[in-house]
Amino acid sequence: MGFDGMEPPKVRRGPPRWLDGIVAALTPPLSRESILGDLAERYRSPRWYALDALAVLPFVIVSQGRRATYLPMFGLQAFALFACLGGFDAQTSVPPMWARAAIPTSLALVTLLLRDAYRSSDEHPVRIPILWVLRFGQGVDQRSKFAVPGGQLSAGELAEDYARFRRRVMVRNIAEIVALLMIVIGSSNFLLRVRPPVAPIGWVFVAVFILLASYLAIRGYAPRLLQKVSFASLQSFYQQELARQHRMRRFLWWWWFVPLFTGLITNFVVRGLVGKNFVLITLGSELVLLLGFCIAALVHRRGRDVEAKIGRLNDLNERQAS
Amino acid sequence: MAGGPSIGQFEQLVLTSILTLGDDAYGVTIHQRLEQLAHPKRIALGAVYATLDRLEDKGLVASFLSDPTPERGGRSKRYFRLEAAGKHALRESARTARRVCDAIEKQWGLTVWSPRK
Repeated sequence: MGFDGMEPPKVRRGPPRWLDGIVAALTPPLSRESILGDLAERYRSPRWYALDALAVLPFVIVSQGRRATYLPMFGLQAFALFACLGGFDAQTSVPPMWARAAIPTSLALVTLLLRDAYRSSDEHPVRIPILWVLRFGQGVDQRSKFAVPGGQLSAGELAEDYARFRRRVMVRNIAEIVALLMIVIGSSNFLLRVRPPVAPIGWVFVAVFILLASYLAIRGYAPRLLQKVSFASLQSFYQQELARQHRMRRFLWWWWFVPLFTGLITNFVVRGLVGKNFVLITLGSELVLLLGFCIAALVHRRGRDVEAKIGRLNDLNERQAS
Repeated sequence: MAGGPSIGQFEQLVLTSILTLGDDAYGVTIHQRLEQLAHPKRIALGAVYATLDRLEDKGLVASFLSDPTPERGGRSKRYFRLEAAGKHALRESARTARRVCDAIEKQWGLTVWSPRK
């Protein structure tokens, strides 16, 4: 059977436009082009296409979500949501408060993941590089935990350990200076172009960030060790430097979060005050307090780690003396 | 294994597929080659995409978009190629596989590879 004398019917070899549109809308933008092309290449029938897309999309969405989500930030969001929903409430109830908070927290986190998965560009907000630096700093801190093998160290070994600590401080210092300068450039650009009403306050922050970067450039490094120093003076020197670095970093920790504090205050508290929205004001204030609490807890924990290191150095000293 | 990210069996298969496909490694062809390599197991195309993303994040492969082609509804292909770290990781895992094969042959003899009756 053929189409004698007739033009063969035009067969559309790709998926129907409406189906393609639905699949395109469901596919994360960053991988849309290639995934839709691959699905079109595998096309056999509308049903086949729909089933193929249904099988592929969950993997693609989860993968894009994973790629676009910054885990520490996600953790902070999870914590904040759980706390705000009363997950840490000590009151006994049936079902327990943590279970009541867990469901809406999970739903909110899934929404956040989807938001990240469907981000249309791989540009990240300013907070991302800042938090990268924080993570980097944390990683350096993890490795800098002072380990004394068996409580016995020679002066040379201790000097080597100090040299390693000094190198780590130097790397962290450079990363922090670069990050501070990035904030200065980004903020200045924003203030010059947008000229917000709070620009004078913004310039004060920029000035403080410049001062911090300068201070780190001049005083942030751990000093080089003098040659032929005794074991006891090396220990004391090391302890003093640990304490000094901690004092400096403790202050800096708060400054890293200034953009987040500013965002919370302007997006919630100020907007609430302007619109006379009591809920926004309360929510914003609580979030600011919660963020402050989290930072204070982190600083406290870091302080305990440093104290422990100094204590271990002290132990080493006593054992040497005995 | 010194340095370099470790890879699982599925990642190893994906890297092998990219290696054997050369300049023609993109989603559909990688999936086809994977099904050949993993036969008789069926492989979900979505799992291939997720693994390719992960391998790219690990720096083992790199991807780039081609020009749009009419047979794909005017859409581009996302081609993949092995990076130096990917080649290294694949070589390391192949060495491990070779050692496993050698050890098995030593115990069970060469007949171990013939299909079971």
